[in-house]
Amino acid sequence: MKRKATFIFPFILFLIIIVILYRGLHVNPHAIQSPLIDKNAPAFSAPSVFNSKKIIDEKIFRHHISLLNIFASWCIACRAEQSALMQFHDREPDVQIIGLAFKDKPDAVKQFLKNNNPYTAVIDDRNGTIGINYGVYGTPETFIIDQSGIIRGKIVGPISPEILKNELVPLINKLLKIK
Amino acid sequence: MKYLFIILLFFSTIIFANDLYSFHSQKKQQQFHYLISHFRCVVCQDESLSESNASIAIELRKEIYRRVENNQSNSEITKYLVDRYGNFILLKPPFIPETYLLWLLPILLISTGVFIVIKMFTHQK
Repeated sequence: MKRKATFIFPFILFLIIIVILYRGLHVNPHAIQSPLIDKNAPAFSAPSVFNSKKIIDEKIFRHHISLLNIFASWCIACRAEQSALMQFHDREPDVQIIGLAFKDKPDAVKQFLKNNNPYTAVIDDRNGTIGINYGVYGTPETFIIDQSGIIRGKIVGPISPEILKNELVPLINKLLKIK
Repeated sequence: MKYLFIILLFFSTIIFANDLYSFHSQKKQQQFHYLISHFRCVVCQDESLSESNASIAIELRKEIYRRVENNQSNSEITKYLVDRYGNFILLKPPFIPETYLLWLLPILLISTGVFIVIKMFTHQK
């Protein structure tokens, strides 16, 4: 009887490990919530892509719900995302969409936005330092920032119509109610 | 010659990231090298910043270089990166409640094994 127990115990342990490892197969190690959520949007100060004399800083997020969309003209997924952003802009005109041109040249950005420009303002981050300060992995990424400048959500990767409907709009509605 | 080239290709993946940077002192160079080998390239599978050529790894190396040259300590730079990228950026996970299982499971398994072996021997006697 005692001998049986010495073998049953490791067998149970083995089963527990199998369950844990099996669950691990379905976990995306990159889907980690940003530590910046519920914190103030990091401070920055950089010129606008469209007017190098105009300096934009984090105060731009005050009094509006904002999307901070990190993009680049060289990023193919960002191109696909533009139509979803335009759609969103038409649907929620009170939400300002701020672009952060990550590691990109102003001329290339202007060319990129010639036909479709969903942004209220576009920040020139040609060195990528503002992006790093926001913990960016790559482009595109989008932060949802509330009226007091606090980050409330982050979407990694392009905004698809599904993400727009299932994640973005509900979060924006929630933030509008708090106001 | 052809074979030598093919053999050399196998050794080409190691990138000496710090070659591009010039430092004010050797101590800073060592600090930089230590840091980039202890942070993860966040978009890669288990690669440190020193090994990766991903665009984000290049940017993070630049940021670490700037901070090293600005006399920031290892703990200040670590805090800066963890505050933005989370504990995921650390190649060695810290010992916190979420990682207790990770750190303690091997000890538990080894002690179980030792326990069973001892049991078996004492039973045989």
